[in-house]
Amino acid sequence: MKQTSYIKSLNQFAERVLIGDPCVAPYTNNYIGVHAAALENTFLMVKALLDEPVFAALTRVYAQHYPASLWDLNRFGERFSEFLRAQAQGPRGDQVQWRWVASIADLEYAIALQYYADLDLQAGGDVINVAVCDPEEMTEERLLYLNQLHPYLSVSVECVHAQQLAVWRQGLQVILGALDRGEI
Amino acid sequence: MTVRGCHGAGLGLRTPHLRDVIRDQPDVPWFEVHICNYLGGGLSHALFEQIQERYPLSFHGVNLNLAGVEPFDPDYLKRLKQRVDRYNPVMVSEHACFTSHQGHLFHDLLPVPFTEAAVLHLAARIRQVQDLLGRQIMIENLSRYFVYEESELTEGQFMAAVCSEADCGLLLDLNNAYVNQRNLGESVEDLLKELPLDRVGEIHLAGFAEQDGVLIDTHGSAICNEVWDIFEQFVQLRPNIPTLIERDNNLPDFSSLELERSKAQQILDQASQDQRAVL
Repeated sequence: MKQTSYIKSLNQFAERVLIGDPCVAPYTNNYIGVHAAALENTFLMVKALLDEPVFAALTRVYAQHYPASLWDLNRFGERFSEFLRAQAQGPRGDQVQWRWVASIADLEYAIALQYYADLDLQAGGDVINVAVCDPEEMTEERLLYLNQLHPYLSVSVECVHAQQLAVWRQGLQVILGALDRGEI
Repeated sequence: MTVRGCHGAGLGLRTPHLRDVIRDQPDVPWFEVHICNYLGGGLSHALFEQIQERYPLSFHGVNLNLAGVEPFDPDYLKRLKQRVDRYNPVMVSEHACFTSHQGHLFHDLLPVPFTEAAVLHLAARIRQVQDLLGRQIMIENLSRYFVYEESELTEGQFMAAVCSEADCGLLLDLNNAYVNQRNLGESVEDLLKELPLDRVGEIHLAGFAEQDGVLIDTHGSAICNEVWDIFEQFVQLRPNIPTLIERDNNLPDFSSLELERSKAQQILDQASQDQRAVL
């Protein structure tokens, strides 16, 4: 009986957080905030490519509508690139090159996966392939910036304007190389 | 053989500082890591291996869902046990909270009602984890922004009962206690009178943010003077407790954290001197 009452208490509390009951507002805010912050940690270049308020709004909407499916918060955002790609159909569809931004999101999620990879270190990790939309946008300057934002990343110059990129792990670095130029 | 322990004031080690710490090997007696960040096998784990070779570590978790009503996540528990067995950290700690419910992963430390049923439930789950890990763990008091009407106990009574029932240690977060005092009117002094201070194995010090008149435990600012005062008073009661500077957000450079750590160390040293003088 007491256990039932305990479960009921937790049911009610969790429900209040999810529906945004004002009496638990700090928890609702944190639920959204912690997931939005996780996206901000992973998608550093996407944040830089979009205006700050646009990125903040998108991460909050994503956090609300795409609940976490893994205990590992570092891997939150597995559908963020898909979400960004879909913005091409939205009210700001023609203001941002969404397909290109989504490609960068794919790249940054691959970097995060290699950083937190669920693989044995000695195995080196599986190579993750990423197709780049609008490869002409992948300039040397942008690649350098990507490298600057992700300090464990090593970027090959062959990646400039490449259509097929690959992300893998080597020792204490995550490597970004060009798949279509025979780097793998 | 070198006996590794967590003594004095340590630091919470965060991802942006990993490289600097490996390279510079700062004179910090111990680090606490969010072990959830190191349960995979990627680069993160490779860096962790280098850290653990050089420093005593405390493993602090946020995903066990100790007070939850669903079965433990077997994958998480298995990985945690592997890491504990492999690296034998000096301390292992978690929170007196639930973090997931009915399939929703909140990634937040959600409070429970302070009832007898909750004591028995939480204690049973802590025992289950302790049995699996083959060691005692510590549980941490929460910062809270909600009071359950059905609570029958104070937080101090609740934590004391859980620690006794589970025979576990207590990680005392003094900032959380202060936040609760400010937000909920729950006296820190009363809390400390009710807690089993002999079970305190670690202290956390952190900073908070104020939003709409509510203090939020963000770990995103410097430790406030009031919390330093509480810490100074506490160490007169229990000196020599490993003390952690816990910073997660608005992360400053490492030297700024080191300044706060040095201040905590000075307070600990002074309390030890005072105690020796009395003896």
